[in-house]
Amino acid sequence: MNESEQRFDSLRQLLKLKQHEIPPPGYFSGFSSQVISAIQEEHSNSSRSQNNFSPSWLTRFLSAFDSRPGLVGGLATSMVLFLVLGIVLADHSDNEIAANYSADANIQPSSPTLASATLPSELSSPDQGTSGGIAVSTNPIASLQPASSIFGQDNSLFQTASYAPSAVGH
Amino acid sequence: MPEPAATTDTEVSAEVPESDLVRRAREGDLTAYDDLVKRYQERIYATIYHMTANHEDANDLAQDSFIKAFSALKSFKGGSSFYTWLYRIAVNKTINFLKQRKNKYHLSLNDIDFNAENDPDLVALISHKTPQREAGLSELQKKLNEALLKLSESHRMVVVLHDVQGQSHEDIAEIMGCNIGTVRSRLFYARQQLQGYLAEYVKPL
Repeated sequence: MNESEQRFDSLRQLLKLKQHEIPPPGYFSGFSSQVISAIQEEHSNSSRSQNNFSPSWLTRFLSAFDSRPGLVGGLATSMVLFLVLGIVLADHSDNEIAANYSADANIQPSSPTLASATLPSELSSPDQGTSGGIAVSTNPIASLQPASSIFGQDNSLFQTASYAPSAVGH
Repeated sequence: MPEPAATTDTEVSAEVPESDLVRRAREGDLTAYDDLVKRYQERIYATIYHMTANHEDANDLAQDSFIKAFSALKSFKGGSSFYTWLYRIAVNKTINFLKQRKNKYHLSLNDIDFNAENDPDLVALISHKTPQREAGLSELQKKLNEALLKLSESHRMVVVLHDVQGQSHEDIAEIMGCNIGTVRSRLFYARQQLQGYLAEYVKPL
Protein backbone atom coordinates (compact mmCIF):
# COMPACT_ATOMS: atom_id res chain seq x y z
CA MET A 1 0.00 0.00 0.00
CA ASN A 2 1.47 3.33 -1.00
CA GLU A 3 1.62 6.48 1.07
CA SER A 4 -1.54 7.95 -0.43
CA GLU A 5 -3.54 4.84 0.40
CA GLN A 6 -2.24 4.87 3.98
CA ARG A 7 -3.07 8.51 4.37
CA PHE A 8 -6.69 7.88 3.52
CA ASP A 9 -6.97 4.52 5.21
CA SER A 10 -9.39 5.80 7.82
CA LEU A 11 -11.58 7.38 5.18
CA ARG A 12 -11.62 4.18 3.16
CA GLN A 13 -12.80 2.31 6.22
CA LEU A 14 -15.56 4.84 6.60
CA LEU A 15 -16.57 4.48 2.97
CA LYS A 16 -17.05 0.78 3.55
CA LEU A 17 -20.30 1.75 5.20
CA LYS A 18 -21.65 2.48 1.73
CA GLN A 19 -21.29 -1.17 0.85
CA HIS A 20 -23.84 -1.97 3.53
CA GLU A 21 -26.47 0.29 2.02
CA ILE A 22 -28.50 -2.22 0.09
CA PRO A 23 -32.09 -2.40 -1.05
CA PRO A 24 -34.47 -4.72 0.78
CA PRO A 25 -34.31 -8.47 0.11
CA GLY A 26 -36.10 -9.53 -3.04
CA TYR A 27 -35.81 -6.09 -4.55
CA PHE A 28 -34.11 -7.35 -7.70
CA SER A 29 -36.43 -10.31 -8.24
CA GLY A 30 -38.63 -8.36 -10.65
CA PHE A 31 -36.04 -5.93 -11.92
CA SER A 32 -34.96 -7.74 -15.07
CA SER A 33 -38.54 -8.55 -16.07
CA GLN A 34 -39.40 -4.85 -15.78
CA VAL A 35 -36.48 -4.02 -18.07
CA ILE A 36 -37.52 -6.65 -20.61
CA SER A 37 -41.14 -5.45 -20.53
CA ALA A 38 -40.01 -1.88 -21.10
CA ILE A 39 -37.88 -2.97 -24.06
CA GLN A 40 -40.79 -4.88 -25.61
CA GLU A 41 -43.13 -1.95 -25.06
CA GLU A 42 -40.66 0.48 -26.56
CA HIS A 43 -40.21 -1.74 -29.57
CA SER A 44 -43.95 -2.12 -30.14
CA ASN A 45 -44.41 1.64 -29.79
CA SER A 46 -41.72 2.37 -32.34
CA SER A 47 -43.23 -0.21 -34.74
CA ARG A 48 -46.65 1.35 -34.31
CA SER A 49 -45.38 4.84 -34.95
CA GLN A 50 -43.62 3.65 -38.09
CA ASN A 51 -46.73 1.91 -39.38
CA ASN A 52 -49.15 4.71 -38.58
CA PHE A 53 -47.34 7.77 -39.78
CA SER A 54 -50.42 9.93 -40.49
CA PRO A 55 -51.96 9.92 -37.00
CA SER A 56 -48.57 10.55 -35.52
CA TRP A 57 -47.99 13.49 -37.87
CA LEU A 58 -51.45 14.88 -37.15
CA THR A 59 -50.95 14.42 -33.45
CA ARG A 60 -47.64 16.26 -33.53
CA PHE A 61 -49.23 19.03 -35.64
CA LEU A 62 -52.10 19.48 -33.22
CA SER A 63 -49.89 19.23 -30.19
CA ALA A 64 -47.86 22.15 -31.54
CA PHE A 65 -50.91 24.33 -30.89
CA ASP A 66 -50.82 23.42 -27.23
CA SER A 67 -47.37 24.77 -26.69
CA ARG A 68 -47.68 27.74 -29.10
CA PRO A 69 -51.12 29.37 -29.00
CA GLY A 70 -49.93 32.14 -31.35
CA LEU A 71 -49.64 29.52 -34.03
CA VAL A 72 -53.41 29.06 -34.00
CA GLY A 73 -53.97 32.77 -34.64
CA GLY A 74 -51.38 32.82 -37.39
CA LEU A 75 -52.86 29.81 -39.09
CA ALA A 76 -56.40 31.22 -38.86
CA THR A 77 -55.28 34.58 -40.27
CA SER A 78 -53.45 32.98 -43.16
CA MET A 79 -56.48 30.81 -43.96
CA VAL A 80 -58.77 33.86 -44.03
CA LEU A 81 -56.31 35.75 -46.24
CA PHE A 82 -56.09 32.78 -48.54
CA LEU A 83 -59.89 32.62 -48.80
CA VAL A 84 -60.20 36.36 -49.53
CA LEU A 85 -57.44 36.11 -52.11
CA GLY A 86 -59.24 33.24 -53.79
CA ILE A 87 -62.52 35.19 -53.97
CA VAL A 88 -60.80 38.28 -55.39
CA LEU A 89 -58.97 36.28 -58.01
CA ALA A 90 -62.11 34.43 -59.02
CA ASP A 91 -64.03 37.69 -59.34
CA HIS A 92 -61.22 39.24 -61.37
CA SER A 93 -61.15 36.27 -63.70
CA ASP A 94 -64.88 36.39 -64.30
CA ASN A 95 -64.74 40.13 -65.05
CA GLU A 96 -62.07 39.47 -67.65
CA ILE A 97 -64.23 36.88 -69.36
CA ALA A 98 -67.17 39.19 -69.30
CA ALA A 99 -65.08 42.04 -70.71
CA ASN A 100 -63.80 39.83 -73.52
CA TYR A 101 -67.26 38.77 -74.38
CA SER A 102 -68.49 42.33 -74.35
CA ALA A 103 -65.75 43.38 -76.73
CA ASP A 104 -66.59 40.53 -79.07
CA ALA A 105 -70.22 41.37 -79.01
CA ASN A 106 -69.46 44.93 -80.01
CA ILE A 107 -67.46 43.95 -83.10
CA GLN A 108 -70.04 41.53 -84.50
CA PRO A 109 -72.15 43.82 -86.63
CA SER A 110 -71.26 41.82 -89.79
CA SER A 111 -73.02 38.79 -88.44
CA PRO A 112 -75.97 39.97 -86.47
CA THR A 113 -77.93 36.90 -87.23
CA LEU A 114 -75.37 34.61 -85.66
CA ALA A 115 -75.12 36.76 -82.60
CA SER A 116 -78.79 36.98 -82.18
CA ALA A 117 -79.24 33.30 -82.92
CA THR A 118 -76.74 32.06 -80.39
CA LEU A 119 -77.08 34.47 -77.52
CA PRO A 120 -80.00 35.37 -75.39
CA SER A 121 -81.14 38.89 -75.70
CA GLU A 122 -80.15 40.00 -72.23
CA LEU A 123 -76.52 38.99 -72.88
CA SER A 124 -76.26 40.53 -76.28
CA SER A 125 -77.28 43.94 -75.04
CA PRO A 126 -74.43 46.49 -75.00
CA ASP A 127 -74.61 47.07 -71.30
CA GLN A 128 -74.31 43.42 -70.34
CA GLY A 129 -70.72 43.95 -69.18
CA THR A 130 -71.99 45.94 -66.28
CA SER A 131 -74.72 43.55 -65.43
CA GLY A 132 -72.51 41.34 -63.30
CA GLY A 133 -69.74 38.95 -64.29
CA ILE A 134 -70.89 36.16 -62.07
CA ALA A 135 -74.21 35.89 -63.81
CA VAL A 136 -72.44 35.64 -67.15
CA SER A 137 -70.04 33.01 -66.03
CA THR A 138 -72.73 30.72 -64.71
CA ASN A 139 -74.58 30.67 -68.00
CA PRO A 140 -73.18 27.93 -70.23
CA ILE A 141 -74.29 29.76 -73.34
CA ALA A 142 -72.28 32.80 -72.34
CA SER A 143 -69.11 30.80 -72.37
CA LEU A 144 -69.46 30.13 -76.06
CA GLN A 145 -67.04 32.29 -77.98
CA PRO A 146 -67.72 33.62 -81.45
CA ALA A 147 -65.45 32.13 -84.08
CA SER A 148 -63.79 35.47 -84.68
CA SER A 149 -62.65 35.71 -81.09
CA ILE A 150 -61.24 32.22 -81.18
CA PHE A 151 -59.15 32.69 -84.28
CA GLY A 152 -58.59 36.38 -83.91
CA GLN A 153 -60.02 37.20 -87.33
CA ASP A 154 -63.17 36.91 -89.33
CA ASN A 155 -63.64 33.47 -90.63
CA SER A 156 -64.43 33.72 -94.30
CA LEU A 157 -64.92 30.03 -94.82
CA PHE A 158 -68.43 30.02 -93.64
CA GLN A 159 -71.27 32.27 -94.53
CA THR A 160 -74.11 33.34 -92.47
CA ALA A 161 -77.33 31.74 -93.45
CA SER A 162 -80.72 32.99 -92.80
CA TYR A 163 -83.87 31.09 -92.84
CA ALA A 164 -87.04 32.78 -93.85
CA PRO A 165 -90.06 30.62 -93.66
CA SER A 166 -92.13 31.10 -96.71
CA ALA A 167 -95.66 30.23 -97.23
CA VAL A 168 -95.76 27.39 -99.68
CA GLY A 169 -99.06 26.85 -101.02
CA HIS A 170 -99.32 23.21 -101.78
CA MET B 1 -33.03 -3.64 -35.15
CA PRO B 2 -34.41 -7.14 -35.19
CA GLU B 3 -37.67 -7.68 -33.43
CA PRO B 4 -37.03 -8.84 -29.88
CA ALA B 5 -38.01 -12.40 -29.32
CA ALA B 6 -40.45 -13.05 -26.53
CA THR B 7 -38.93 -14.01 -23.24
CA THR B 8 -39.30 -17.67 -22.50
CA ASP B 9 -38.91 -19.62 -19.33
CA THR B 10 -35.82 -21.30 -20.67
CA GLU B 11 -33.12 -21.10 -18.06
CA VAL B 12 -29.93 -19.48 -19.18
CA SER B 13 -27.06 -21.30 -17.61
CA ALA B 14 -24.69 -19.32 -15.46
CA GLU B 15 -21.85 -20.94 -17.34
CA VAL B 16 -22.86 -19.41 -20.65
CA PRO B 17 -20.04 -17.08 -21.70
CA GLU B 18 -20.83 -13.39 -21.66
CA SER B 19 -19.80 -13.01 -25.29
CA ASP B 20 -22.34 -15.65 -26.30
CA LEU B 21 -25.10 -13.90 -24.41
CA VAL B 22 -24.16 -10.58 -25.95
CA ARG B 23 -24.18 -12.07 -29.45
CA ARG B 24 -27.62 -13.58 -28.89
CA ALA B 25 -28.95 -10.35 -27.36
CA ARG B 26 -27.71 -8.44 -30.41
CA GLU B 27 -29.82 -10.77 -32.53
CA GLY B 28 -32.85 -9.81 -30.47
CA ASP B 29 -32.91 -12.68 -27.99
CA LEU B 30 -34.47 -11.14 -24.90
CA THR B 31 -33.89 -14.27 -22.88
CA ALA B 32 -30.17 -13.82 -23.28
CA TYR B 33 -30.45 -10.15 -22.45
CA ASP B 34 -32.52 -10.98 -19.39
CA ASP B 35 -29.61 -13.07 -18.18
CA LEU B 36 -27.18 -10.21 -18.79
CA VAL B 37 -29.43 -7.88 -16.80
CA LYS B 38 -29.51 -10.34 -13.93
CA ARG B 39 -25.74 -10.59 -13.94
CA TYR B 40 -25.12 -6.87 -13.60
CA GLN B 41 -28.27 -5.34 -12.14
CA GLU B 42 -27.01 -5.15 -8.58
CA ARG B 43 -23.67 -3.59 -9.44
CA ILE B 44 -25.19 -1.08 -11.84
CA TYR B 45 -27.89 -0.18 -9.35
CA ALA B 46 -25.35 0.19 -6.54
CA THR B 47 -23.10 2.49 -8.57
CA ILE B 48 -25.98 4.74 -9.50
CA TYR B 49 -27.39 4.65 -6.00
CA HIS B 50 -24.08 5.72 -4.44
CA MET B 51 -23.95 8.58 -6.94
CA THR B 52 -27.48 9.83 -6.44
CA ALA B 53 -28.11 8.86 -2.81
CA ASN B 54 -31.68 8.32 -3.87
CA HIS B 55 -33.27 4.92 -4.14
CA GLU B 56 -36.00 5.83 -6.66
CA ASP B 57 -33.64 7.70 -8.95
CA ALA B 58 -31.21 4.81 -8.86
CA ASN B 59 -33.93 2.38 -9.82
CA ASP B 60 -35.14 4.50 -12.74
CA LEU B 61 -31.65 5.23 -14.01
CA ALA B 62 -30.57 1.61 -13.76
CA GLN B 63 -33.57 0.51 -15.79
CA ASP B 64 -32.99 3.26 -18.34
CA SER B 65 -29.36 2.22 -18.63
CA PHE B 66 -30.25 -1.37 -19.43
CA ILE B 67 -32.90 -0.30 -21.93
CA LYS B 68 -30.48 2.09 -23.60
CA ALA B 69 -27.80 -0.60 -23.67
CA PHE B 70 -30.13 -3.01 -25.44
CA SER B 71 -31.05 -0.49 -28.11
CA ALA B 72 -27.37 0.40 -28.57
CA LEU B 73 -26.10 -3.18 -28.68
CA LYS B 74 -25.55 -2.86 -32.43
CA SER B 75 -22.91 -0.24 -31.76
CA PHE B 76 -21.09 -2.43 -29.26
CA LYS B 77 -17.97 -3.48 -31.12
CA GLY B 78 -16.56 -5.71 -28.43
CA GLY B 79 -13.42 -3.60 -28.01
CA SER B 80 -14.02 -3.64 -24.27
CA SER B 81 -15.98 -6.05 -22.14
CA PHE B 82 -19.75 -5.76 -22.14
CA TYR B 83 -19.54 -5.05 -18.44
CA THR B 84 -17.30 -1.99 -18.96
CA TRP B 85 -19.41 -0.79 -21.87
CA LEU B 86 -22.58 -1.12 -19.80
CA TYR B 87 -20.96 0.73 -16.94
CA ARG B 88 -20.04 3.56 -19.28
CA ILE B 89 -23.66 3.95 -20.35
CA ALA B 90 -24.84 3.95 -16.73
CA VAL B 91 -22.16 6.44 -15.68
CA ASN B 92 -22.94 8.86 -18.51
CA LYS B 93 -26.66 8.62 -17.86
CA THR B 94 -26.13 9.25 -14.16
CA ILE B 95 -23.80 12.20 -14.64
CA ASN B 96 -26.21 13.80 -17.13
CA PHE B 97 -29.05 13.26 -14.70
CA LEU B 98 -27.13 14.80 -11.82
CA LYS B 99 -26.20 17.85 -13.88
CA GLN B 100 -29.87 18.45 -14.61
CA ARG B 101 -30.96 17.73 -11.06
CA LYS B 102 -28.56 20.26 -9.47
CA ASN B 103 -29.52 21.11 -5.92
CA LYS B 104 -32.94 19.54 -6.20
CA TYR B 105 -31.96 16.28 -4.60
CA HIS B 106 -33.22 14.78 -1.44
CA LEU B 107 -31.78 11.78 0.33
CA SER B 108 -33.74 8.59 -0.02
CA LEU B 109 -31.31 6.14 1.48
CA ASN B 110 -31.48 2.40 1.62
CA ASP B 111 -31.28 0.86 5.05
CA ILE B 112 -27.95 -0.31 6.28
CA ASP B 113 -27.86 -4.07 6.58
CA PHE B 114 -27.29 -5.92 9.80
CA ASN B 115 -23.67 -6.78 8.93
CA ALA B 116 -22.65 -3.15 9.23
CA GLU B 117 -23.31 -3.23 12.94
CA ASN B 118 -20.84 -6.07 13.26
CA ASP B 119 -18.11 -4.50 11.18
CA PRO B 120 -15.31 -3.79 13.69
CA ASP B 121 -13.91 -0.90 11.66
CA LEU B 122 -17.25 0.86 11.51
CA VAL B 123 -17.99 0.14 15.12
CA ALA B 124 -14.68 1.67 16.07
CA LEU B 125 -15.49 4.77 14.06
CA ILE B 126 -18.76 5.47 15.80
CA SER B 127 -18.37 3.92 19.24
CA HIS B 128 -16.93 7.06 20.77
CA LYS B 129 -19.67 9.23 19.29
CA THR B 130 -22.76 7.66 20.70
CA PRO B 131 -23.59 4.76 22.93
CA GLN B 132 -26.54 3.88 20.71
CA ARG B 133 -24.86 2.05 17.88
CA GLU B 134 -27.80 1.98 15.47
CA ALA B 135 -28.46 5.68 15.77
CA GLY B 136 -24.76 6.27 15.25
CA LEU B 137 -24.68 4.29 12.04
CA SER B 138 -27.68 6.10 10.63
CA GLU B 139 -26.15 9.44 11.47
CA LEU B 140 -22.88 8.39 9.93
CA GLN B 141 -24.65 7.18 6.82
CA LYS B 142 -26.39 10.52 6.42
CA LYS B 143 -23.20 12.50 6.97
CA LEU B 144 -21.31 10.32 4.55
CA ASN B 145 -23.89 10.70 1.81
CA GLU B 146 -24.11 14.45 2.32
CA ALA B 147 -20.34 14.69 2.08
CA LEU B 148 -20.31 12.65 -1.13
CA LEU B 149 -22.97 14.87 -2.66
CA LYS B 150 -20.75 17.89 -2.08
CA LEU B 151 -18.21 16.47 -4.51
CA SER B 152 -18.46 17.12 -8.22
CA GLU B 153 -20.00 14.32 -10.27
CA SER B 154 -16.70 13.16 -11.75
CA HIS B 155 -14.90 13.16 -8.38
CA ARG B 156 -17.76 11.36 -6.70
CA MET B 157 -17.84 8.77 -9.44
CA VAL B 158 -14.16 7.95 -9.00
CA VAL B 159 -14.56 7.53 -5.25
CA VAL B 160 -17.63 5.36 -5.65
CA LEU B 161 -16.07 3.15 -8.29
CA HIS B 162 -12.75 2.77 -6.49
CA ASP B 163 -13.36 2.96 -2.76
CA VAL B 164 -16.90 1.64 -2.60
CA GLN B 165 -17.05 -0.78 -5.48
CA GLY B 166 -13.41 -1.75 -5.63
CA GLN B 167 -12.78 -1.14 -9.32
CA SER B 168 -9.24 -0.79 -10.57
CA HIS B 169 -7.79 2.48 -11.84
CA GLU B 170 -7.58 0.99 -15.32
CA ASP B 171 -11.23 -0.02 -15.39
CA ILE B 172 -12.32 3.35 -14.07
CA ALA B 173 -10.27 5.10 -16.74
CA GLU B 174 -11.97 3.02 -19.40
CA ILE B 175 -15.44 3.52 -17.96
CA MET B 176 -15.03 7.27 -17.60
CA GLY B 177 -13.13 7.74 -20.84
CA CYS B 178 -10.07 9.37 -19.35
CA ASN B 179 -6.50 8.32 -18.62
CA ILE B 180 -5.26 6.65 -15.46
CA GLY B 181 -3.41 9.77 -14.30
CA THR B 182 -6.67 11.68 -14.31
CA VAL B 183 -8.32 8.94 -12.29
CA ARG B 184 -5.55 9.02 -9.69
CA SER B 185 -5.58 12.78 -9.36
CA ARG B 186 -9.37 12.90 -9.09
CA LEU B 187 -9.31 10.19 -6.47
CA PHE B 188 -6.69 12.02 -4.43
CA TYR B 189 -8.56 15.32 -4.60
CA ALA B 190 -11.91 13.70 -3.78
CA ARG B 191 -10.49 11.90 -0.77
CA GLN B 192 -8.95 15.12 0.50
CA GLN B 193 -12.28 16.85 0.22
CA LEU B 194 -14.13 14.04 1.96
CA GLN B 195 -11.59 13.94 4.74
CA GLY B 196 -12.30 17.58 5.37
CA TYR B 197 -16.07 17.14 5.33
CA LEU B 198 -15.91 14.11 7.64
CA ALA B 199 -13.17 15.36 9.92
CA GLU B 200 -15.04 14.41 13.05
CA TYR B 201 -15.11 10.77 11.99
CA VAL B 202 -11.80 10.49 10.20
CA LYS B 203 -8.48 10.86 11.89
CA PRO B 204 -5.72 11.68 9.43
CA LEU B 205 -2.56 9.68 9.99
